[in-house]
This record gives sequence, structure tokens and C-alpha cells, in this order.
Amino acid sequence: MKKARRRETTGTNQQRVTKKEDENDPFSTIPLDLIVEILLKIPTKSVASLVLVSKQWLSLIRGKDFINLYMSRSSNMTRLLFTISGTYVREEFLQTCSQVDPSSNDHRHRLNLTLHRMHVYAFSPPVRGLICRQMDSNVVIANPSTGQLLTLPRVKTIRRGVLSFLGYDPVNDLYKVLCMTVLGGDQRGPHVVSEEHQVYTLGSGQRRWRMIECEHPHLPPPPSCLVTKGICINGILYYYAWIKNDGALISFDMISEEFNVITLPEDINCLVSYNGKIAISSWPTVNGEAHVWVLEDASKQEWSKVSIVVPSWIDLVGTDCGFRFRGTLSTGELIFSPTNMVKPFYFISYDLKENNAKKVVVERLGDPYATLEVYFDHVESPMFLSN
Amino acid sequence: MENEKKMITLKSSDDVTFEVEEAVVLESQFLSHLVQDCPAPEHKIKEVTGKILSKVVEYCEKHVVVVVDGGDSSSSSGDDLKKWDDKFIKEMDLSTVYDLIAAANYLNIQALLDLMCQRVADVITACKDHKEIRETLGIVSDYTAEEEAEVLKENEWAFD
Repeated sequence: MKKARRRETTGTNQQRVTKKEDENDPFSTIPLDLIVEILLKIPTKSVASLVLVSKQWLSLIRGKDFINLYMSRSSNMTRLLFTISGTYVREEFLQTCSQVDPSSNDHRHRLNLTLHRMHVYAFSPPVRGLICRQMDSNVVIANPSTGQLLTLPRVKTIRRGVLSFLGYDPVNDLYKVLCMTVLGGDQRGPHVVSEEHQVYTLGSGQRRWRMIECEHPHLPPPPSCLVTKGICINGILYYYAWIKNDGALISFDMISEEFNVITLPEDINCLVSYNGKIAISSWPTVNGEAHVWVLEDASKQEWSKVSIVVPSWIDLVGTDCGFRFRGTLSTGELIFSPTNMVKPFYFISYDLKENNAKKVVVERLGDPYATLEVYFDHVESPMFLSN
Repeated sequence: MENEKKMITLKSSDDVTFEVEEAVVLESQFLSHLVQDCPAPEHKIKEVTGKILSKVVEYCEKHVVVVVDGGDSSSSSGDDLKKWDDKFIKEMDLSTVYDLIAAANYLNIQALLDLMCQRVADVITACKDHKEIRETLGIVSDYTAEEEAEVLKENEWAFD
């Protein structure tokens, strides 16, 4: 077979419709921008493996332009992401499904982690398509939509406990992991603070953790007590920590790599994203009432208080189950997820505009006795992970 | 309506002519401008063959009719239109699809372009591996065996 002729596309209509020069390679008559159009319509799970088709496809699919274009389209089709751990059957996996219709069979996929000995509870929330997991001195990054896992180089530390958070710098289009060492156990006191703050930039090729300065001594609670393992909004990573004996909100700028301390209006450790802003939420009462403090201006440390009362709460959920407010979805609904296991799994979605709350059941999550954590607004990314 | 519909003649590169209502022509951004700027009764489209132009005309006629008739009951006519689109693409071989992609792009008919790109995307998704994709689409690989083995190794991770 003849070697394919590579044609440069200039983007003019005249050249786009030039007839086939090579009958053996009819596909080569399609200009590059239209090949991109085709690839954008392929499910994330499949698109990553298409790099094997040709070098041209490899450079297209791995290109930042393609990934950003793909993600801007998939951001209209956000998904639920579950980290699931079997109780009796020893299996652990990441699973995604449609957020609009979670029980539908459309493009459900699961990534089995059992072989990778991951512990599903130590994941931090997904950031722009990726999720991160701390495992002793190792950090594993996963792309639940392509199925790829990447273990970062070992964190060099003097102390034993390592805590890590994933964030995204939207200006330079970079994913970064912030990690620090903490003491093991629930030690809390004025002299115990996090140390050895380090940053890893994904895909930089440097394969190393960079030490950074932290001028604000603070101590995040151990992972088992951290309700929200960091939330990254517009290039700022937020997490709850203790300063001396008081709770505080720590912000870490993913671009400048500087820490800041924001005083909390009330010592609450449940962080949520509320209409695109960082907020803290009280635990909902049995009547479905919660209050939320929204950070309106970080520089002035200005917070506003919002009270939420979910209509027909007891009719929906009864009184047996505890709930956690999870913030707002990209589509505006307020979300509450159960803190203990419910079978089948469900969450409460409250539409403020319609003043209507509903129970959204997610069927077919595998092992009925599995324990799980759910994350909302997961955006599918075809991104290939590399050190 | 009693108004007489304005008819326009399109002539393909191989001189096949199609007489269509003006509304049909307006589905194409390219032809809309052409008709407005140059009000001749006949327009030659040098870049598109009769075989492909007949498909384009068939698609545009169907979509114009449904939009006009649809009015308030757009959801059921939307379903009908989708069924019609499905049948339209199913009967087509890939080389016709490629030609239609080029024609829809040239004539600037976004919905037809989307439909055809989706068709190719579905064909790709249905293939079991990259070799089948190459065979089905007619793509000649530019990888050497070593390069291919390397990329394959890089992509070893997979789902259940």
C-alpha cells in the first residue's frame, strides 16, 4: 500500500474539497479541523486509545488545544464520580455515570483499582477531570474517564504522615499537587504544625517535588477527620486547618504558590462550592435545615450567611439518616448526600428556582454492600497523564 | 399560503441540475450568501458532484419541511427527523460520508456536518481496536513497528 500523503490544511474552502488524490487513503481527504470535529464526538473512554491509529492522531489527541476543546464540550455533560470499595468482595473501583440520569446505562464505566491497592476513602475531590489519592509517601493521580493511573515520584520527607491536595492553575493550564507532612494521629496543639510543603507540577517532565515556603503555621486534621479534602476554585485551593486551637480556612494560590489564612465566621470543617464560591456548611438538621457561610471577598474576609430549608425533607428521607450538604451543581441545584450507607444509593437534589426537592437514586453500583463516596460535576477529560 | 414559492436551480460540478425552493437553499450559509449577492436563476457549485449534491438537497429539503410544518409540535417532529437522519446515514457508505463532510463544510450546513462527523465517530467507537479503525476508515498508519509498540505500552491501562 502506498504511504499516505499528508496534506497541510490551510483552512480555505477551496482546498478542503479537493478530490481524493489517493484512493488507498480516502480518509486523508478530510482536513485536520474536521478530523478534530469527529474526534470530539467520541466518548472519553475510547478517545484516549485512538493515539494508536496514527502519529497524526497521537499529536492531535495529546495536544492541549484538543483537550481544552474536548473539555469545554464535556463540561455541559457533567458526571457523577464514585469511589467504591467492596465490603465482602475485595474490590475497589472508580465509577462514573451521567449526572442527569444516573441510572441510565449510557457510557457507564468503572475502573478497577483492586490491583493497584488503592484505598478509596483517601481520594481528594476531582479537579478538572482528574482525581488524586495519597498512599503513604506516594501520590497517585487517576483519570477515571480514560482509566489511566500515574504514580508520582515518592515524596521525600523526614516526618511520616503525608497529606496531599490536587489543584489546577487555569492561567498556565497546569495541574499541581500540594503536599505537606503532618504528624500521625489526631494530635492538635499550638506547637504541632504542617511542615515540608512541596509542590509537584504534573506533566512538566521534571519528575520532582519542589519545596516551597509556608509563612502561616497551620495543621490540617488527619485525612480520616477531613470532611472535605480540599476544594479548588478558579486556581485557588481551599482546605480546613487548625491554627493553634482554632479552625481556619487556608487558601493556596495555584499560580503564585502562596498560602493565606482566612478567618472563619464559625468553626465548621465542611467545605463546599456554593455558586462558584468557597463556602462552609453546617450539618443539616433532621428537618432538612442548614446554614451556609459564603466567602464573598477573600481580601476583606467578607462572608455572607445563607439559610437553606429543603421542602418536604422528612417525606423524602425520613429521620434515620444523616446528611451532608455538598454545595451547588453547575446547573444550580443544591445537593445533599447521605453520610451513612443507603441501599440503593441516592442523594437529594433541591431546585431553588422551582422550590422542589427530589430524591435521585443511582442503581447498579455493583456490590450492594459496597461503601462509597460520591463526587459531583466531574468533567470528562481525555488527558494523558505523564510525569 | 398562496404565495408562489421562489425556485432556484443548483448545478453540480458534473452538470446535474436540481430545482429547489429558496427555503431549501437557505439551509446552507454559503448558498444563502450566494443567492443574496448574485440573484441569478441558476448557480453552479463546482466543488460538489451530482451524486453528493443530490444527498445534500435531499437532507436540506427534509429539514426545511419539518421546521416549517413543525410549528408548535416540535418535539414529535424532532423525533421523526432523528429517525429520518438515522435512516439517511445508515444507507450510506463511508466514502459518501467523507464526501458529504467536505460538501457540508464547503456549503456551510452545520447540522449536516455534525450528523456526518457523528457517523464517523460512531463507526470509530464501534471498532474493537486501532487496527480495525485503520481498516474501516482507510487510514494508513505512519508508525514504525517500534514506535507503535512504545505507544501501545504507554496505553496499557484499561477498563474492566
